[in-house]
Amino acid sequence: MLRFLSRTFIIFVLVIAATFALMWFTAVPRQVLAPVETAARSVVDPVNAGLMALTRYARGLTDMFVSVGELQGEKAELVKELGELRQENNRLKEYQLENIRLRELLGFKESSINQFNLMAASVVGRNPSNWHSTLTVNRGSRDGVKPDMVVIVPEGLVGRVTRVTPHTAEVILILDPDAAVGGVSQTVDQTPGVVVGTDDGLGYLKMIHVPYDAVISKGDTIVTSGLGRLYPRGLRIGSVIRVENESGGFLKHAILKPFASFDHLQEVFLVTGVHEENLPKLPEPPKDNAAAGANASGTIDSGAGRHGPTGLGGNDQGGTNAGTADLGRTATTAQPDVTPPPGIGE
Amino acid sequence: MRYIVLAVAVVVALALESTIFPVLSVAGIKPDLVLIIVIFFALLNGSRPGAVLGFFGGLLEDLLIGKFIGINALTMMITGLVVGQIENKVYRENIVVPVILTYAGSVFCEILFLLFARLVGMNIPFWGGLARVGIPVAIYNSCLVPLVYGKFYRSSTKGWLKNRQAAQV
Repeated sequence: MLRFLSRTFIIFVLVIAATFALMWFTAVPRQVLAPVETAARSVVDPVNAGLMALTRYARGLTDMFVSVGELQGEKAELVKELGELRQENNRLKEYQLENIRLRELLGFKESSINQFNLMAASVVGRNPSNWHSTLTVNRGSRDGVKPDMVVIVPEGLVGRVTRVTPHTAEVILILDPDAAVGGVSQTVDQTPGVVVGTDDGLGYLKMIHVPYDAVISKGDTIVTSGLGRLYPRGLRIGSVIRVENESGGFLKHAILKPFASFDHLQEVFLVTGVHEENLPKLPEPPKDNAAAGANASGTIDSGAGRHGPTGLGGNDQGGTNAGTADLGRTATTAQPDVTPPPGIGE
Repeated sequence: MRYIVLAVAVVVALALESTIFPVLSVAGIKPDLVLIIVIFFALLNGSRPGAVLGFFGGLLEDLLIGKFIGINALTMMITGLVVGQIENKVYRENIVVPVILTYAGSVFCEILFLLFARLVGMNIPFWGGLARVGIPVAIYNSCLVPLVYGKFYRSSTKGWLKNRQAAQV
């Protein structure tokens, strides 16, 4: 029997056994490679790397050809989507602007509700004369309208009520040469003056009694100063378009373009009540403001108070403290060292 | 009858001046329609009727304006008086006559207004007011004449405005 166990057969069996043993030993994952394995890898790996690069390149080429069609389709879709998004964006922008406009119109009353009680009124007629600027509104004493109520539109000040009938009221516009409003520039310098209408029919206003060295320049916004009993402070009147010196050398005046558009007035608001504490506060003037320039003061009996630049944020000249001017006070104290210039309507 | 028509015409004129003509104003200037009516009436009917219409028409306008009541009554009355002097001295069918007369009459009335305004304390500079308001009003007035004179004339001679008591000349 041993004759059959030839040498080949024995070697064969030994090899198989060794292989199995090797398999068995390397069945568990190992951290370290045996030197033979390392050597083998170091031969094969570079070849692998080269082949891999070649494969990637080839694949890239084929991908390019394959995807051009896809990319074109994708681009067409994206362009279309962009066009649609742009249109929608435009539409939304329009809505946004309309929103702002409508808010301004309707929301004006809401936003002012903290400062004023407003009554809406329609303009039913204007003064038939070329020499006067007044209009008639459709609210009267039956609706609670009283003389001297201030009339505004969202853009700015319009005028005040003069005469009242049960169902209508007459409003004198600030354009009328007889109307006077105490104004102040909305700048750090707070230059005061009196805003009157011009009689040239062109619709501009004139701010007079401005001392020659007061700081006022083109583009300044003029608002009501609140001095005087009639107009609450902070109402926008107009903006300066030029400043002119007056002969005599003491004073200059500014020509203003009013903010309200008087040609097309149809709806106005009457101020029926004022919440003083919510009115905008004017910024504190520089401390020496009261001493700067000629101080003109006195009273006007045409309705609006004429005031002196007695310092709007606090007065150390001993005059009326017009800084926290409540509407019950007129700046009537005369500065003793300056004579008032000739007044209007005198 | 004619007085009712005149009264209605004046009222309508004032209403137009208060509502429509502010929209049709040129450089802020409206025509003075009541003055046009007064001038026409004075031209066609003489001094006294012209003066009377001027007085009452102007007074109505003053009442609507509310200030310095009487100034328009006076100025229009005097204008009616003066224009009425020309009544029989011109050829009234020619449209040029009322155009020129309206222009001259309007300037005259505005000058009177400015003079009286100074007297009563209105703060209007004379030359400035004349240049910026007076003359433009006169021009605007005379531009409207061709539109309205024809009807007025026919009404005065044949229609409601006819003076039935005057002897036919």
